This record gives sequence, C-alpha cells and structure tokens, in this order.
Amino acid sequence: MMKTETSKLSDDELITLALKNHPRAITCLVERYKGMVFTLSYRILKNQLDAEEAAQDSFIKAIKALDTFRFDCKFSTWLYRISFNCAVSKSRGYKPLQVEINTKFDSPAETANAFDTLSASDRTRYLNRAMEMLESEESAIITLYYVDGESVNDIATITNLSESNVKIKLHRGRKKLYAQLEVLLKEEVTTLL
Amino acid sequence: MNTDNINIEKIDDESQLQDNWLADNLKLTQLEPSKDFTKNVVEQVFVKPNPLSGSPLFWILAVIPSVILIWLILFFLSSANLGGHFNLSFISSIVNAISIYSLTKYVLMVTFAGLFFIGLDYFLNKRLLHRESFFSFMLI
Repeated sequence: MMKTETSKLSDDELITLALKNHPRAITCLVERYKGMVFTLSYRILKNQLDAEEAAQDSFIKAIKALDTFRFDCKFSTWLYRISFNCAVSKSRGYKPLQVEINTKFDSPAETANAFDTLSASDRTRYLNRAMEMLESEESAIITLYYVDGESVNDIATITNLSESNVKIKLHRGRKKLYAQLEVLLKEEVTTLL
Repeated sequence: MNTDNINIEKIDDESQLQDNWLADNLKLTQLEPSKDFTKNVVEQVFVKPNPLSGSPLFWILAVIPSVILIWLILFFLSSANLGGHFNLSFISSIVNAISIYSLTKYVLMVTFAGLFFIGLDYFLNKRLLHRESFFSFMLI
C-alpha cells in the first residue's frame, strides 16, 4: 500500500493493519499522534529528554498492547491514557513550581488583550513558560482540553480522575495560567522600561 | 472569552470552561519530538534480536558442526601421528571409539529430537499468534 493511501486511513483501519504487523500502519499512527503524546509528556515532565523517552515508551507499550484495544473508545484516548501514566510514573518525586492564585490579578480578558499585541512567537514563548509553571497534572489537562479538544469525559478516562475533578482542575489551571501570563507580561514591561 | 467569576463547585456546564482565545494560542505551543522519533519507535517495535541466539535451532546449528569439527581435528591428528612421533595414542583410541557411522547416527538423532521439540512447542505455545511463520519462530 502506498504511503499516501495509508495516511488517509482511519485510526481503526490503521490499528487493524498494525495488528497484522504492517510497519507502515504503525509509522502512520506514530506520525499522527507523536506531537500530542510528546507535548503531553513534556507538560508532565517539563524536560525535553525525559519527555521524548516517555513518549517513545508510551508508543512502544501501546503498539505492543494493541491487541488489547477494544475499539470501545477513541484510539487517542486510549493512547493518551498510556502516555499520561508513563509520564506520571517517570515524574515521581518531581516538585512542581507553585503559582499563588489568591493574589489580585487583572481579569483574563485584560491579560488576553495585552497578550494579543505580542507577536505569535512571543505569545508561544510566554505561554510555554506559563504552562511550565503549572502543576504537571493541570498542565496536561489544559493541553488535552484546549489543544487536542478532548472532552471532560475523555480526560477523566485518561487521567483516572472524576469528571468534576477534571472540571475543577481545568478551571483552576486556567486561572493560574492567566495569572502566570500576567506576571510574565509585567516582568517584560519592567525590563523594557 | 469567559469571565473568571465561576463558582468552582458549580461547574456543571462544560461551556463555562470554553476559551477560544486560550485554545487558539495554546495550539501554537504544541511541541514536536526529534526528527528520528518515528524511526526510533518503529525500530524498537520491530526489534529483531540476533536471529539465532537463544533459539533451539541455534544450539542444533552450533553444536553439531562443532562436534563434527572436533572429531575431524582428532581424526587428522591421529592420522598425522601414524609414525608414533608424539604421545597422542589417546586420540586414536577416541577416534576409533567414535566411528564416522556412529557420529552421523548421533548427529541425526539430536537433529530430529531438536526439530521434534521445536515443532511441539510451535503447536502448543500461543506465543506464535503474531509470528509470520514456523521458520521465523524458530529463528527468534
């Protein structure tokens, strides 16, 4: 089968081929999800080398356990759950930086408006820095919800948390993220002055 | 963008968490692993150990030629010592004790016994579920 044809196949079709040991189907699945799996691992481990190792382990575990995938949920949810667990077990002992959220900050709308004046590369840089300041779990949940568009229900499955807990963590994480962005923006303004 | 005045304990509606600005900007922060990432994963999934090591076929293929080689060395040493220049009479006695006929007989016995047990393992063991063939199983 041609490479382009393989890349057009759905996840379920690729999994069926991968179960028959088709290297191209496996390559295609890895290519399709490597960005998100790596980002998720990075959000938890906050270190590129560890994240890459965890992402590789996740894919290898997932591919080796592919015959246990029951097609009763999205493949991405199943894969992210493996990836989340791999990264979390690798991050044992990691002490996250805490952001104080009780401090009075501008509203998210004001922070966002100020942020929109920056170039895309600056925004990416600040957002990455702000995400790194969040707790691993919050950062991973925010990534799954806002970047990949996973539902609260799917995130609950991936992280093994209750739906209400995911919602609370999303809300708190988002609040902390805006707070952190505001701190970074103020630092930038101070540096410029 | 939503305002931030949400009572945490009452986040019933998922739409309260919607934030298009955050979604759009966070998409810019999606990271990519190194260039060889996919290649490394696929290589590790399809990792082939040394095709012969650890397999029953390895022992058959390694032991039988070794035994034959040792026997041939002993045979030529005993032939070379016909004049009795060296005190190697024990070699002649070993070579005489193990004739080429009996050596062939034992080699064939070991080979067939080995193949029988490999075959038995093949039919009884579910490890072969995703393997390509009997021969690939024997070599892994």
